[in-house]
Amino acid sequence: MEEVDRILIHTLRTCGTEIPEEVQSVRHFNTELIVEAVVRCLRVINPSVGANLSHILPPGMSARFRIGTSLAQACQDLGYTGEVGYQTFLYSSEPDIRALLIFLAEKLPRHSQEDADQPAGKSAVLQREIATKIKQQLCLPWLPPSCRTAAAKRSQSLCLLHRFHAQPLSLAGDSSSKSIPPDRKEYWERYLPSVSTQLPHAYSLAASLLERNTSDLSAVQEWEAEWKSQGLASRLSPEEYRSRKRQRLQKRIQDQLHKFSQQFTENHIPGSSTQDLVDMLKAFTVEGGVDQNKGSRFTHAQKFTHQQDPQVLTEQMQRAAESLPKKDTQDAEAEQQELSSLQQQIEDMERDIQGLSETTKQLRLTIAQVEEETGKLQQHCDEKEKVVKVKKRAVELLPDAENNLAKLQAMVDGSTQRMTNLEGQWESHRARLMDEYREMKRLQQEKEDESSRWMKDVRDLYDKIRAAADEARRKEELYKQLVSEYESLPKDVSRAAYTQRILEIVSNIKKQKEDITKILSDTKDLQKEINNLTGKVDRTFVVTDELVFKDAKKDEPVRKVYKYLAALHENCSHLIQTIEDTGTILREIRDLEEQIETEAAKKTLSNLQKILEDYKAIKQENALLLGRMRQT
Amino acid sequence: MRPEPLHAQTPVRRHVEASVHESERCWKEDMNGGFSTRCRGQHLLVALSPARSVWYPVGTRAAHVCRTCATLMLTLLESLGRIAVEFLRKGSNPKVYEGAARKLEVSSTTVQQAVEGLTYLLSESSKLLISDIDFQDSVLVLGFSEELNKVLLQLYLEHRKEIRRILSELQPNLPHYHNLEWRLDVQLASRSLRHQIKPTVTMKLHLEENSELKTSVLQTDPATLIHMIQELEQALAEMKTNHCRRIVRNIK
Amino acid sequence: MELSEDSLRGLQRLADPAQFSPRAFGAVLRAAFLSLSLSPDQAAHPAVDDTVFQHIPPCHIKECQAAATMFILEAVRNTIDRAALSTFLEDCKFDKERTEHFWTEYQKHRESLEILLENIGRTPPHVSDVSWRLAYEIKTNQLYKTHRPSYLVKFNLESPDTSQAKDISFNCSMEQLQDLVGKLKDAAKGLERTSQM
Repeated sequence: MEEVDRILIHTLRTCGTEIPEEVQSVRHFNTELIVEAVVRCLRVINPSVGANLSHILPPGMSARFRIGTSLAQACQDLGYTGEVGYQTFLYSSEPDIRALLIFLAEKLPRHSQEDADQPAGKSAVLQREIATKIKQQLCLPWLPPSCRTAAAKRSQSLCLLHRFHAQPLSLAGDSSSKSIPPDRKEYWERYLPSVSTQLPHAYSLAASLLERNTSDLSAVQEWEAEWKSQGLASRLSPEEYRSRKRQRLQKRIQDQLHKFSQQFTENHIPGSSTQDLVDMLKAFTVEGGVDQNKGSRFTHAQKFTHQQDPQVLTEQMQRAAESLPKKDTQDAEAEQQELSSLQQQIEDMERDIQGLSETTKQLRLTIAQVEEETGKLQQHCDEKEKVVKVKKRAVELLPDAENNLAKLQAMVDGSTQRMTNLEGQWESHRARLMDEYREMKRLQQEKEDESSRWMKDVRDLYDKIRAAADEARRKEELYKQLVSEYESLPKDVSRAAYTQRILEIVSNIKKQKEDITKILSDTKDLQKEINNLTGKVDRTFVVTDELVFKDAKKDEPVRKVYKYLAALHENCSHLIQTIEDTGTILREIRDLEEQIETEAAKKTLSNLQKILEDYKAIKQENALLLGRMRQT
Repeated sequence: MRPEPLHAQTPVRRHVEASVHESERCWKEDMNGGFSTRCRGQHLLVALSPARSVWYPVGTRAAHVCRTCATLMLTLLESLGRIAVEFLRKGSNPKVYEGAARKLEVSSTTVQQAVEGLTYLLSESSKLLISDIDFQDSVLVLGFSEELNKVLLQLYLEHRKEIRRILSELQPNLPHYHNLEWRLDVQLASRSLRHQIKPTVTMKLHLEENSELKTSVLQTDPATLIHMIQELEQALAEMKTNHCRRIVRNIK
Repeated sequence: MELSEDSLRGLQRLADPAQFSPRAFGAVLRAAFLSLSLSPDQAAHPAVDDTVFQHIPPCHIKECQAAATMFILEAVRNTIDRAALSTFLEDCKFDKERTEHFWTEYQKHRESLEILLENIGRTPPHVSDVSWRLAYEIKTNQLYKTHRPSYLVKFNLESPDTSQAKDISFNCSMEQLQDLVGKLKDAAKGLERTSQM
């Protein structure tokens, strides 16, 4: 009971009851303390019920009675099945109060346990956050729209709201990269406005930047997904894969355009728009062609001049800029004139240049044609010369025809022999090369197999990497959540206290159990001994009885002895009976004593006295009230 | 109120005069206020238009017509009254006139005139909410028999409430509160901010205008909601203040 | 939280003490924060001819400012905490000092940035105030002696879209107003109940 009381008192203290140090068990609770403890518990269990009850016992008797009744009602509402009424609180008996307090305490921890359970899970955390936010906003005072502060505007106003309006931004890229053309670098260097000035206000800037980041990221993701699914299988390097894809796309676009333009020209009279289309198509094909034969001299030259151009231009510009300030004293009109004449000159020159370049082009074309013709003629000439040589030789050999024929025959024979010889040699070579080729092919096949195996491994690895990354992220989040949960957990010691107490109780119980088993075994031993002894006595008595009875038939004094023996036996059994009776009576006495104690614990006498006093008080109060009524 | 005209001898006439005057004033006010004056019940407009178009002369014509009524059999007045009330409810129905005319053995135009006259009498008296005695006085001038007058009074008292209800639907119509639905929303994330908690109360306000429902979706924050409740409760409480009560008492 | 490669490169460049001196770093950071502030400041973008930036190519400054702005925005969008911010910046080779500098600046501007991002979006018109008028109806041209109170209620609306921002006003009888107030009270009660969960 002491343990139970200690735990009870601890629980009651945690829910706000001020229990003095000297009170160690429920037995010492007085009426005020009981009422306070019950009210505090009720407040924690159900705030709406507890709020109506005062934890201080009022002096008036009728008010006391009312409090007792309402407390009893509240306890019954909570589901207390035991007998409870105003008398439970006002004229308390220890076991009743203990049972009631245990019931309330059992209701308590479950409640706080729910609180402790709440942090588990994201949704609960979220719900609590929402709840606190709403509470906070409900407590905010309402302000007229014109005098709202920034904080009030945040929750009460919409005047700052803007749409998510993303616009394309121009951002500087990696200027140290080699693949960026210098024009673009120069643009970044000199003309690109900084991000903050590209858009009118911070809202669109924020929206555009966020959108840009997201689209960049998703583009990378998309590329990765494609590369993993198709790129790796194609066994090309990423750049090759990209250019291959671009070509494919270009070709498809070209085909489609061709198809439609043809359809269009078939169906309609070609107007200006179709002409445009056809022009564009031509340009497109030319461009594509240029792209494909990168190595041609012409394109190189073109590129070269283009690259040079800006430098030349800037030099010229600088020179012009230098010469400009000197001229500012001259007449503006003259300058204007000069400018227009110069303009004229430039135009003339440009026209000349154009004409010249056209002629150059034509000339170049003719040159190419002429060169081609020359080549052809040269070839022709060579062929003719060869024929002439052969014929000349034949003419030379003609006089000694016989000889020469024989010689020729011999030569022909020799050459055929040599031919067969060579053929044999070729055969052997060929066989060897063939073997080698086959070997190579086999090796190649093996390598291919191996590479595909590698490829598979790589893909597996990719998957694993991604899975691991996901896992890591998940774990990280879990960790974060757990940390926040841990931080939000109430750091009270009651748990430790509880466990310690429970452990103590368990050890106590263990000890008690040992004691009980010891006593039990003692009792069993005793019982056995008693049994043994009774058995022995019985047996001894039977043996003696037989012996004496046999002799008693013959002998007179022995008969007496027999009588005595019987008397002795009877007396002894009487004695044993008496001892047993004493034992039961002792036990009964102990039981009764216990009963007396429990009755005494109920404080019947003092309670009766109290009731009597209260009765008197009520009577007095009533009399007082009656008197007052009469007075009024 | 304009001074009583000389020819206004009966309460009905007086009221007619007053109503014309009053309605002109109201009309002008409404126009200035920019209010829509379209009538809600179209059939009712049709029903009352004959009465309205002949506002001035009807006073005399009604008397004449009613006198015609008097020549009809008294027992049939009730059926005519029923037709008149039907007229107010649903609009004119020539078939009913013909049916009645055949029964009464008079021309259908006579029946129509009689019904229109009764209609006018009933609607005008209901509009003015005149008392029993006023009504009897007004009817007395028409020169009917005692019994007939009683039947007319009975008819008036029976249907006054309904006619007033029908007439109340005719008044100039502003957007009128019909219903409000609400929902508690908490914005948890948006495209530009992934973690936020922004409680709002979204409301759907149904307004009624010209018997059409118009809805608008609004939202507000907790603090403003509380403020709105306080303001509107104050508005309700205003009606119970002494000042308002005194005004109401004095007006009646 | 993730950033595109371009922005990561910009941040790494910004972290490099060989390219950006601490003063230049601070200037870029300030510019990035200021460009997102709601009151547009003239000093929102760093002047290229500033002595702080003498030895840095302007395109690097632009690149780094864009990257820093983007990082700040993403950080606010994902409500990043200190630990995550530090690890992210460490991955971009920020030293301790610069991370610290970044964090203090971030803390300073965090609320205004949150307001900025919170205010991007759309919602139905917001009721910001209510006004009412109590009238006592006496007669209409159709009906005399009506004698009933009539309320005119006006909701003042706020909306980012000015075409929608017309106030709503409507008539209601006493019973209808009671109904309206009852429903609004229901809503308030619902809020309270949610706040006690």
